[in-house]
Amino acid sequence: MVSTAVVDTVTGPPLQELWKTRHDKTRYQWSSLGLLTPTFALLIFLFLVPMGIAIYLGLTNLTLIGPTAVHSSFTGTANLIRLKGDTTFWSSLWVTGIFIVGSIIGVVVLGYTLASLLMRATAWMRVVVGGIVVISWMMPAVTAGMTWYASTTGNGTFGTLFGHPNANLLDAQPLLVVTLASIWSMTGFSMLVMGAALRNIPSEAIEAAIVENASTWQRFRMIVLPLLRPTMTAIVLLTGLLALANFSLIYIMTQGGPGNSTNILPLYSYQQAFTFNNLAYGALIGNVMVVIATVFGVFYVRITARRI
Amino acid sequence: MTQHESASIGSVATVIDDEPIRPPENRQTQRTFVRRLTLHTILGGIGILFLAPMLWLFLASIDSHASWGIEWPHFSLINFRHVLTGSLLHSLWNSVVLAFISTTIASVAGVFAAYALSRRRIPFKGPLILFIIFSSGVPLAIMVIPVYEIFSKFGFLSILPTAVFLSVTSLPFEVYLMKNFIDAVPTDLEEAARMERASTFQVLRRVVIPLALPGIAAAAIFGFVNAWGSFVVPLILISPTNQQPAPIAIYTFLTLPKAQFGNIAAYSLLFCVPVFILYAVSARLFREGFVLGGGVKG
Amino acid sequence: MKVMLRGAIPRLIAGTAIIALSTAGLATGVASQAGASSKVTISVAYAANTTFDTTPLGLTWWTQVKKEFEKQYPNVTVNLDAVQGGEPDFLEKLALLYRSTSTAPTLAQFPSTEIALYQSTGYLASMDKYLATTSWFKEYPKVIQNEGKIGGKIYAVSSGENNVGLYYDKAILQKAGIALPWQPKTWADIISAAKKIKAAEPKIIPLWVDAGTSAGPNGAGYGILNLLAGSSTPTIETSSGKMVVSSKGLTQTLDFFHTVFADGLGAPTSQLFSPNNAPNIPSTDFFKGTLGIAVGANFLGGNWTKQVSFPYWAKASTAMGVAGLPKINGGGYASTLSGWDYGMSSTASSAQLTAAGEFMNVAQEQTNLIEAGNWAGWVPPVQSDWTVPLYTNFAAPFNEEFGKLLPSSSELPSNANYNVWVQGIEQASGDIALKPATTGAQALASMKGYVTNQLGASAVVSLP
Repeated sequence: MVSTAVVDTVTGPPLQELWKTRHDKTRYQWSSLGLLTPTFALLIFLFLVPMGIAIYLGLTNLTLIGPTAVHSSFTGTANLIRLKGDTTFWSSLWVTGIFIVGSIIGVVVLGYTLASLLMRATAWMRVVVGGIVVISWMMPAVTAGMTWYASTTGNGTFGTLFGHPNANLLDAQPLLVVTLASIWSMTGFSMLVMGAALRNIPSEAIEAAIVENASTWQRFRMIVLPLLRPTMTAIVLLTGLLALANFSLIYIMTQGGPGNSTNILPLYSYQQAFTFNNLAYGALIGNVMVVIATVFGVFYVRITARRI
Repeated sequence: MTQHESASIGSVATVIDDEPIRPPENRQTQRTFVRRLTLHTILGGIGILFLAPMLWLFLASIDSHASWGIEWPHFSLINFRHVLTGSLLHSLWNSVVLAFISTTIASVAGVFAAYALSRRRIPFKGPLILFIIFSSGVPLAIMVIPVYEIFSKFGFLSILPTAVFLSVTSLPFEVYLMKNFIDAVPTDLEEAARMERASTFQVLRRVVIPLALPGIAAAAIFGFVNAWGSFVVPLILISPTNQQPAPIAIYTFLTLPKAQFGNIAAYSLLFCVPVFILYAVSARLFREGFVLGGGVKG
Repeated sequence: MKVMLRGAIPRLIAGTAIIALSTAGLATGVASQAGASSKVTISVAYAANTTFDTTPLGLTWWTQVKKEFEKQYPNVTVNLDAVQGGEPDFLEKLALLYRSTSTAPTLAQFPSTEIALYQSTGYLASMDKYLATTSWFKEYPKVIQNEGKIGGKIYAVSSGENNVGLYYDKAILQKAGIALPWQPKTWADIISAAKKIKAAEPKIIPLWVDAGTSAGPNGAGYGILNLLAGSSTPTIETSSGKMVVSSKGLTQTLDFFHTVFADGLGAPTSQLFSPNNAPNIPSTDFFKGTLGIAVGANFLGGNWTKQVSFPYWAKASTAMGVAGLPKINGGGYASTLSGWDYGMSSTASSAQLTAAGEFMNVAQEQTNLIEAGNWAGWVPPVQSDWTVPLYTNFAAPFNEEFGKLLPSSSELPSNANYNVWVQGIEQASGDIALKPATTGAQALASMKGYVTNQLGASAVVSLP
């Protein structure tokens, strides 16, 4: 702090602060504004403004085609009333909840299992299994959806693997299969992060616990879990957000069907906006998603904000 | 004791009964061996389950008569040859353009902002950073409808404006990531540069960016992968058919009556390759793991 | 441009060149304004992958029409926009194109079920004056002429129609002890034939009827809605524009579905829910000999020709038979009628519209029209074409048979709420196909609940 103050004195204070020369605090600089402008301009125009428009749009009767496509009007609470009575929306909310919770549980459990097992495995195993899991994470959603569709419908890999080649797993248990696909596509990240966190646990603590004859479970509960908690929380929140926003994976696999069994909120919003042409109503469902994401986001900020 | 440990002791016990009494070290080794075997079996099992879905992709791409089902392929590389021509290749190029422009915008804007947020005194810095972190969490699919409305009014329903929008979707996280890296860079060199009356731009170019390069590269890679795999955004925002990127092409061709699965599988594999390469590159940059607020060293 | 010109002379030359070029540009600009009728550009949008049976055939047809047109009208430039994607994607993209004046296609080809939607938005221009001087429009049967008539004006013109009938494999039916040629008189006849097939050959799919949502709104048009059309109450939309969510006809139709799937007479969901255009799958199944009877659209016949090859089956004409889909208790045939229509953009200039009208004229002349019908799997809308050898010889005898069946078909509604209604009935049919224990009443109840919930109680009606 002192050195910067010295520097500032040497180079001279910025114009705007000339009348209040303080040498113990760094100055505002005009160039900071320049540095921040690109980012915040983009965020304002392509994030905040659309958000605002979405809030307004959700309360209009704008459609993609039809009489109110070109000239729409503000309809106040009409859409909200519709939302309240929309059974498909509530079932979609429920399905989304199951999907998110299932994804989180799977990702956290599998990620931890893989991370801790791989730590004690041979290097070869680490490369092969770790590599496979990471590749599955890196695969773009479209490809992942395609391969999972192929693997879980008639004559697919999973059916053949478990002895029933003609089994149509996807249609039999759509939500389950889709959740498994989601877990599959997100575990890699969880494994990497947990692995890094596990490696940061001081070995002395573990050794001390072994000396004290603590069981594996006790070691996990008393040492690993508390130290891993921030990482795990972050993963829970990130996975939740990603699952909430998941569109392509499920769209490619089932398009929300059969019936509405995998019609999670992003898909329902798309269906309302672009298949049923109700742009405004679709935007409203999107707004609901924002509210849910905000709740997640607030928790996420709480965790990461400690490190600002 | 865990189940495994008791089971292994049980099996060891039979051995001990039949053979002369061994020193305790061997019992420990036996236990460890069984435990390691179980561990590797479990890992192997998980590995196979993770590999299973990808199997179709690999087999179908080298199969000249591929279908949705899994079958022993008629080995052929013809699918790759089909794919490297015509409109499919053009879609791949569109993906490159989209991802490249999006990443460039996000990384450049991101570096500037990250530097400012890290080093400079800024009014309301706390709330601004919170806003950044919050934005990185909000899912994207939500924004598409209003952005679509805006773009259609201005006639922006094409590849370049979509690239700009895609940059916004990865921007907050990139800023946050880069900021953490720049935080870790010591300020001495910068101060020295200041002493030499270096401008902000020169400081950035000569000192900060080279030192924070791993983080910046990682953030850029994140942005690229994000844009590369993006599906719903180009689906809605890019109107002309000849500007659509690879994921849309894959989806279009996948649902045709006469879908050529072999070609699509080969194309998808090619589409995945840049992502894999970038992962390998970023793994080099991050030997220890990812930077994440919480329990990981930055 | 960082071209440094050293010396006065190069600069002089450059300067003169620039002046010359700009005056030339100005001149052409002026010329193109003065002779406004001489240089016109129109854009034509069509579905690249779902109108014609194969994408290359579509490209061939459109390129040939464009070439013919540009030869006759050299002052008009035609920009063909082949919109990619399956049918739902095509419809979305077309809606997006229409939204802004700069991208709205001067002439577009879209399904007849979308006509009212586009017209009510104000995207379509009335075409009466462009049709008045044509020879072919008068030859359309009245029902097809009225396809695009809204409020007394014509906003869309058919380029080809789809209707539905029964396809059956002669060998399989013979083996099951059914007399040929087969023409069932009632729905009960269809069920009993399917049961006989199942008894004789358990490994074969006895009866194919489209179910589920994967084929988009058209799937119902090629499947369940044809049965509805032959039921006691075929009404989908009342004259006041309300959608019917409960009626005797709907109950009968869904009960029929329940019987089909509960008795194991239907196709497996892995085929019915296929993302690869399920309505076309019967062609492959028939070819492989794994399907007995199918409720199928007229284009299935064309799939077996060499040009389409989906798959190519030389023996199709002798191995397969066509029968009309009977009404529930007899008394004639029933089928849905839907087609692909041309519409003109309301934001185009009158010069462009005239050019578009002329383009349509070229596209609709007999050879082009019949070839479109052959290659896209349509019955040409001009009645006299149904007996022309170019048409009847193409996918013999299927083309001819479906031409004969056309008069007994009835138009599908074109209504903003239709999309939701059709989603409802497709979901209901999909439920039955997936879980055959679902009764017709249960499926109807869930359909009624869904559609009423989505459209609001005031937009739906229950008929006795």
